[in-house]
Amino acid sequence: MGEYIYSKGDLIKNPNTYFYADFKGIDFLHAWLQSREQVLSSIDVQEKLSHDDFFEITDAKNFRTLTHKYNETNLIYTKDLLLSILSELEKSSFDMSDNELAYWLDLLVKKFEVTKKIHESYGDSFKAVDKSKNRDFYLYILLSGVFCSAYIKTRHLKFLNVLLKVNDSLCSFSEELTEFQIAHTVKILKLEKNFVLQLSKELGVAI
Amino acid sequence: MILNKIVLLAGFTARSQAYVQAMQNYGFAPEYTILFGPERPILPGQVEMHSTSDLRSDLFYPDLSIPLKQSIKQKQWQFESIDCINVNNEMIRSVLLKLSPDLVIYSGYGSQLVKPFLLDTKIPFLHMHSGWLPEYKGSTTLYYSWIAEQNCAVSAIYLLPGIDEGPILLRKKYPLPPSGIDPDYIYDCSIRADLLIDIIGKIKKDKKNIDAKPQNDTGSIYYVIHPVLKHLARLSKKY
Repeated sequence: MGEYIYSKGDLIKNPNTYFYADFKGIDFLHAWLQSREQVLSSIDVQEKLSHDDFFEITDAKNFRTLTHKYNETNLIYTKDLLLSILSELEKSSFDMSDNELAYWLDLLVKKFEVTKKIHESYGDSFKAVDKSKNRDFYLYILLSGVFCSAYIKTRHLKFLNVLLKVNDSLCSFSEELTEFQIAHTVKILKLEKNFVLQLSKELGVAI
Repeated sequence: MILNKIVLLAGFTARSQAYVQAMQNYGFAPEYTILFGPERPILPGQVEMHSTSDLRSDLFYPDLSIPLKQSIKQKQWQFESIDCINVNNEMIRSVLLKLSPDLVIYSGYGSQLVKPFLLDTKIPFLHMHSGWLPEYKGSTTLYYSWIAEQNCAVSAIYLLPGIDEGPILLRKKYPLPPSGIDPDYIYDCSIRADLLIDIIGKIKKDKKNIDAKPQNDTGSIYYVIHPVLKHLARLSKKY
């Protein structure tokens, strides 16, 4: 079995492009699965999550208030934004006709797909306020949680695609995560695995 | 048959080889061809040559072992090479303005967007997008459509600055790639070339450019497909 290379190295400094990835048959999917399993088995989950929710989002700011304020101030903190979107996704029966939420989800998809990074805060035209502040691993976990939730609600491939890429990054720095972050990462990776296995079943691919 | 006032602007890619070979197969030649970029493969969309001459299909498959320039020289097409990596180049712009064609058939590199710098010349740039528009905008949409719809598609559009937002001339659906055909370099290029030939045929028949319909706002922009999803598509039982 070959090696899964897309979660290796410092992916913040040297991100993958994923251009023209070679086809390596079923072995590739086995290698991906094994790579994710290795991350799961190598991290010791000391701190159990106390509830089934992804995150403690009870203190999340109101999504609409927050985003409307951004339109006035041109400044938004990513943690606030991601928690508010998670909260919104939890409580609403989200579909693509919710234009405002769909707009922000698409903006986050684009931001990560293009830069492969997530920054502490964003300013005018949703550009990073400080480009050096891109190593807060909790933000990558929250972002992954947002895409998990969006995929559960919509089954839209664009969310699964970006989720796989965020999780490549998460796995690449799994050894640097705190206990609290590890607990969330475990949940996210298990969800991702279920998504891929479900899709493979629908497509008649036995992994 | 020379296509008057039609210019081919092409990078050294498998797609350009497909376009040129398909046009030659159907007896068409652009009035002028502008080649740009590096001949050896260093940019997205470029590939080491390999032969596909033993393939049998209703579609015209290019033989990628034949270099682009060789095909062009063999049929004595009028052409020039411009030494630049990016299409948004002053030399390219100035040649286009001098030629002032009615249409540019565009076949560039995967990661480059044609900017207003060229589009502001008001010369229409014809682009064959490998996806059903407006639903499937962006990159590697062949694979997304493969997974979600179990088919492929090509849309012919005039380029606008936004990604795959231009008005649509023609769209066509295609079956999934036959087993054993490389989807990236052979099938994708072949179906784009196939619709290009349809467009050229229509332009020749009507003796004018084809009217295009603006897109509505529906659809999503897709980004380079993750290798896991790409493998799921290619290993799909329905493939």
